[in-house]
Amino acid sequence: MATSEETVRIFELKDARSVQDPVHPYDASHKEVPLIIDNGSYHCRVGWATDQEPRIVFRNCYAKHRKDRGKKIATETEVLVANEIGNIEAVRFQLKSPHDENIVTHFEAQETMFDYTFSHLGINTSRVDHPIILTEAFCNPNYSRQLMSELLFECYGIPSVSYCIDGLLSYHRNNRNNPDGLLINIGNYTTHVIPILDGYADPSSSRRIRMGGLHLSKFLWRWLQLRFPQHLNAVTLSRAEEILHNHMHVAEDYMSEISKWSNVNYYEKYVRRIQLPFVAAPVSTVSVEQQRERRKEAARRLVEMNAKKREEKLMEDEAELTRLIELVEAMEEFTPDEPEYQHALEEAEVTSPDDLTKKITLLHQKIEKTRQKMLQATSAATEEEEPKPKRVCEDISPKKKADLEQWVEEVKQQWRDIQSRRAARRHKRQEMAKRRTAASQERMRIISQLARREKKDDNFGMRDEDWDVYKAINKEGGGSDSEEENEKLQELESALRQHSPEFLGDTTATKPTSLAENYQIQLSTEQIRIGELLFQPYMYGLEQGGITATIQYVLGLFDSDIQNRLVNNVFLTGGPSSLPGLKPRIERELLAMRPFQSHFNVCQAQNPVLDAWYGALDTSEELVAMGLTRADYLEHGGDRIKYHKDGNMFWAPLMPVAPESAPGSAVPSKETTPAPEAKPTPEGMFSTDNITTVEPTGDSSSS
Amino acid sequence: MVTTEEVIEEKEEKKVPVHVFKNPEFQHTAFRSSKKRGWRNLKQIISLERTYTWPDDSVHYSSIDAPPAFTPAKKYSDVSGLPANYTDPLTKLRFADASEFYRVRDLPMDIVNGLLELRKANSIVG
Repeated sequence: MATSEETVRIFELKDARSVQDPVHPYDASHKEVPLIIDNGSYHCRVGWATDQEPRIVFRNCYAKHRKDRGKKIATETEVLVANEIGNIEAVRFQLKSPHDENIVTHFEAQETMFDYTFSHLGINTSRVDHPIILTEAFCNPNYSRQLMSELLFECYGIPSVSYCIDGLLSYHRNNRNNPDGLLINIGNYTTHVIPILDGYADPSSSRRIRMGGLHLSKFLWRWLQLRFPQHLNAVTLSRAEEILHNHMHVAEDYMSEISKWSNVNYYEKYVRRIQLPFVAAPVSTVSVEQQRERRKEAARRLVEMNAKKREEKLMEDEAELTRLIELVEAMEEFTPDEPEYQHALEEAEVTSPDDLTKKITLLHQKIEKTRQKMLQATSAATEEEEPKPKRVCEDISPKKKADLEQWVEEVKQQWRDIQSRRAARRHKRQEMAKRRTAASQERMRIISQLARREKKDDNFGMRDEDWDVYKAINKEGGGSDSEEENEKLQELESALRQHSPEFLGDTTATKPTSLAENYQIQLSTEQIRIGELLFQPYMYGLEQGGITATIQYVLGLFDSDIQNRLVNNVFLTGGPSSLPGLKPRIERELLAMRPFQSHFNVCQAQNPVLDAWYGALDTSEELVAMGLTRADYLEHGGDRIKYHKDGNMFWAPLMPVAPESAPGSAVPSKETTPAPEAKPTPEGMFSTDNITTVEPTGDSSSS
Repeated sequence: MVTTEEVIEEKEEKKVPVHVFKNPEFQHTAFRSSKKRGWRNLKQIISLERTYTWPDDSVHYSSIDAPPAFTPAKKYSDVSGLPANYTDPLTKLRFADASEFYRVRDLPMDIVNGLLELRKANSIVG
């Protein structure tokens, strides 16, 4: 291959950090303007109904630092909300979000996010006096909606809230003239397949797959960490997300494309290398001789310091000796009875004259020894050689040309030793795993011995060597190949490659690796595998059908003329739907599952991420008109919503249950007749008054 | 040395900012009765929903879960991602050909467990 055709595809990681949001100006022009909040589990997009674009887009989470245990005041916690978090990896473990999968369950967190939203919009009135248009999940549980309404009405004092579904908003924005279609909304946690007939969604035939963009990121992240364990810390979830957004695509025919990757040429042509940031090791500009000089200097300095210390010590000892001798002479003048005698003994810090003489002799010996040592040191300094280098590398540098052969032989032998040790370890590990081998039987024998129940004469553990028996029975065979051994092997191999390359032959990689290459990760099958998760959730252990299987199932719930209406407008929306290659793939799958020569049409949202917000912008007046007002909330509770074509339907359960009760304590009633007593309270208990649910117009229920 | 007065001042400065637009007397229902109630997570909410009786035509969150696929799952290698026809009986990892087999046998325990966990095959039952 000509070198001009080869393109080495190495990509860098941007590692973008979030930018702090400003506090937007708030003035009279915003009076009573509806506020559109697309409350997604990944990002939240907020803007006025008079804006063209959402004003604030932020990650829907916050990080709460726990103060050090030293400070006793528990209320002092540092909270970083959304875009205030600079480096999200630093606070990954303290992240909290109002969402659990795609439903809002944690309303204190939601309160924090709303605080952030309203304060950055600049709202400075005593209550938030704007109708809110808020997105919720498809088939949002009443409980969750109830608590959301309570938060909005009671805490923020809003006049009304309209709940709508993001997928439907996006659909209606892009399909003003198409009342029928099959909506496929790929979200962060979930993917919904929703048939839409005459403009209204049909919830009973919709299905939800618990696979979304977050699962794709997480799978890629864990997979890369397991494939490249040496880069465990460098592969973060944010980087996995970035790789997912920029380098992944969906294969049109997965089985044939994935088999192509086993071909080496195909691999070399299409592999993508991601360059992880690394710090180059500081190159020592100093040459070998200079290093030796430096080491000699250091050694010399050490020797001098030692000599000085010894001299000082010697002086002290000699002074002490003269003092003691003087004391002895002084004592000879007195008798043991006189106080001066005792006084002298005390000064010498001894209790009897014998001790004193002993001390004097000891000091004499000490001084002698020190003097001898000093003599030795001075004589040794003259013959000082270069201190033995500690680095292993220098051991294997050959000294003379004549010894080269011998040295190469030694290196080969060392290499063979390491390989044989590894092979033996591997063999032993395998033997232990099989049932009838001697190694495994020996292992069981040792285990049964250790497990003996007799308590008497049990002195296991008295010596340190006893614990080594656990190394013997370890199934791993005493741990996998140690790092030291690996390093040594690398050095030997590099030396061998230099001097006798034919020895290694094809057994090891012959390409020399630069430092930069060591920090690259290669994306081969991952490029199509990650997108494939949407179609084969089994790869992630999720026991649900993928997009294709679910479309097939949903279509099967209708009869053929309705199927044709749905299939003529298959609409893709949601963030992950912007993966390249998704549309051709879905077209191919539809071709396979639809009857011969039938028509279908697949289209994508113009802006998969923002179309939900734009859709709410388009229909904001109608949405506000169909919203839940404060009066409704106080009378019927926060979950009863009016039915409109962008929202959920509401069903009341047939039994009044207080939201205060613990889950599971409500006894399920076997009666199907609704309970006659209705206890509507402002706290929003489920009420069973006679207001029936609003039926959708033109309800063409399928057989 | 930080005196007690300075500590108190710090505390006052770092107080949580009270927003103008919030009702200061608001308390979440979950915390109104007892402080320890806490928030229900999604699983609890779903099971709570199931305990009620609903009208026949109602649809709730758990009723729209997608069913498992009818076609059996394809197997892919845990080492490379290629289609895998073989499984290692010792580690239960899947591999595509002989060279991958040697790599599978050389993998350390934590990576083996990580790969199995990734496809939720790491339970000791079955």
